[in-house]
Amino acid sequence: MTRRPTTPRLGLGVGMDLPWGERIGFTRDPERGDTITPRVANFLARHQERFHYLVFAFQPGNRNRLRAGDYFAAYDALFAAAPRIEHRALHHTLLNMATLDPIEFDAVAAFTNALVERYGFAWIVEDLGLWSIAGKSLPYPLPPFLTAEGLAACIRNVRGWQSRLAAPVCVEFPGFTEGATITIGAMDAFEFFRVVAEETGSPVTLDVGHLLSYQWSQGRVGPRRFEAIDRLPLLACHEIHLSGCQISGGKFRDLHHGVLLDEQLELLAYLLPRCPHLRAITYEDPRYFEDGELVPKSVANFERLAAMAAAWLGEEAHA
Amino acid sequence: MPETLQTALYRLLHDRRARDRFLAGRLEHLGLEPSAQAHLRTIDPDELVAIGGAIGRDLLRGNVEYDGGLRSTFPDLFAQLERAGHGAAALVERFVASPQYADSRQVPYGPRGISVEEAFFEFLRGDDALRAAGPHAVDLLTHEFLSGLLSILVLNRDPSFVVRTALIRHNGAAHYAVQRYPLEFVRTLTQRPVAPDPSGAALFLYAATPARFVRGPATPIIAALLEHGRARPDAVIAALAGQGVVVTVERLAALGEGLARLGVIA
Repeated sequence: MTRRPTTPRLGLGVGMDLPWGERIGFTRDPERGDTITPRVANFLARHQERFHYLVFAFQPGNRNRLRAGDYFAAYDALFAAAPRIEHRALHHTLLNMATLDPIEFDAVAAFTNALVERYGFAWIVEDLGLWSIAGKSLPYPLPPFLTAEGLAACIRNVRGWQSRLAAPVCVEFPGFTEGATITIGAMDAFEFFRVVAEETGSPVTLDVGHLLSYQWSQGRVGPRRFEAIDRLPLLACHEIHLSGCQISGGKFRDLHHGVLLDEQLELLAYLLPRCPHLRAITYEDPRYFEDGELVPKSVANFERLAAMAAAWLGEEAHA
Repeated sequence: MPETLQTALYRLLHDRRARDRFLAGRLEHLGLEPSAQAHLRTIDPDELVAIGGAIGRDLLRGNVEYDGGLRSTFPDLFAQLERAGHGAAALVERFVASPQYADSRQVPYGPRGISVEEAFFEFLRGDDALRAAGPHAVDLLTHEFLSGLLSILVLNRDPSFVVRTALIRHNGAAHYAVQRYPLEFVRTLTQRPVAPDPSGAALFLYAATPARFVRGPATPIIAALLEHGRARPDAVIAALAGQGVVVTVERLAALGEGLARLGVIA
C-alpha cells in the first residue's frame, strides 16, 4: 500500500544530519544524558520560527542492535528544543533501497515504526541509493545500478518499505556528486527515477544539488542545466531539498556546507510551478557557530530561499 | 552461484588487486556474464579509486562517536607496525580485501557478523607484517583487541555483532578473557612488578560488566574463579590443584567476594 503525506503546504523546513559526537549533532552529557549539543540548541532557539517543519537524519548512536528506546532521550531533547516547529519528518539511512540483495525488513521496520508512533513523523525520506553492501557501510550512498535488474530491485524494495512503514516513504533522487559516485549501467537516471515513482506510486523528494550533480555528470551545465528535468516525476514531488554545494576545479560537489549556489535557487524556481503537489522545501544542513548564528557566507542565499518559500506558501493562501 | 553486479562492485571497492585488474581493462575475473560486464564500463576509474580509499580511511579513523576506528582501538600496534615499515593505509587496504573483513558486519540489523575489531585481529595475527614487527607484536595485538572489544561490550549490552573468538567467554555475570603473556610484556603494560604464574609467564585479565571495564594482572586463582564461579569452591580448588596451585577455602572466599563486588562473577 502506498501512503502519501497528508500535510498541507508547509513552506520552508530545516533538515539536519545529527551524528553523535559532532558539534552539530547528538551528545552524551554526563548530567543531562543523551541530548543535542549546545550548538544545535542555540540554533533552534535562535531560528526555529523560520521553519515550519524539522527533518533529521538517523545516525546510529551505539553498536547495539536497533532499539528505538536507545534514541528516545536524544530525540525527545531535539524536539523539546524546537517547540514551535509543528511538523516532523525522518531522513532515514538504513532503508538501502537500491540494493540487489534481499532486504532484512523486520528490525528496521519495527525500529522505525516505534519512532513514527512516538514522534508522529509526517513522512520518511531516503535517497534511492546503495548505503551498504554485505552489511558494510559505504562512505557515501551510491546511486542505484542503472540497469534493468537495478530498476526491478528498486521497485521491489520501495514497495517493501511502503508496505511495512507506518509513515509515507518519500524516495529521494540520489546524488551524483564527483568524488563520491560510481555509476554502473547506462540507463538515464531521471527516467529510471520516474519509472520507480510511477511503478510504486511513491511520493518523491528532489534534491536540487543531486539533480544538478547528475546534470553536471551528463554535461548539461550552464544554460543546459534545465534540460531533461521534465523527465523527472514532477507530479509526484512532495519535497525539495537544498543543501550547500560547490563548483570548484570543474567539479560539482554536494558538500552540505550550508552555502547554496545561485544555480540551486534557479533550479528551485524552475521546479516550483512544475510540482503542483509539492508540500515542503527543506534547507538541509545549515552551518552555524556555537551561538547558533548562521555562517555569514550562507546567509544571503538562505534569505533568498526563505523568501522564495514564503512567496510559494503565500500563493496557496491566496489561491 | 554466479556473481552479481553488486558482488562485483563489492570486490572492486574492497580488493585492490581486483580493482587494478579492472582498471587495466580486465573484467573476466569478476565472474560476470558478458552482458553484465558491459554495465561496469560506465564506472569512472578515478571515482572507484577515491571511494576504495575512503573505505579504508573511514575504518582507520572511525567517523562517529560510537565507533572510534581501528587506529584508536589499536594505537600502539599501528605505531609499532609503522616503525617496522608497515603503513596503516597499506595494511588496511589488505585487510578490507580479506575473508576476515568479509565476515564482519557494521549495520545494526540483519544477520550478525563479527565486529570489525575482531575481523582485524583475526586478519592481522596471521599476517606476515605482524610477525616481522618485532617482539611482542602478537601480544600487543591481542592486548589491544581484548581491551577494545571488551570496552565496547560494556557500553553495548545487546551488540549488533557476534563475538566469535574463543579468547572471550561469558560466565553469566561478565564477558571476560584471561590471557597468558610473557612476563616482561605484562610488566611493560603495568609499569610495575608482576608475579609470574607457575609456567613463568603472567596472566592478564580483561572483563566487561554492565558497569565497567576491568583489566589488570591476574592469578591462576582469579582465572579459576572467573571460569567456575564461587558457588562451588571444591571445583575451583580441584582445578587449581591440577595446576599445582594450592588455595584455602577462606582465601578463595575472600577473592571471590572481591571479584563479585567488581561484578565480574556472580
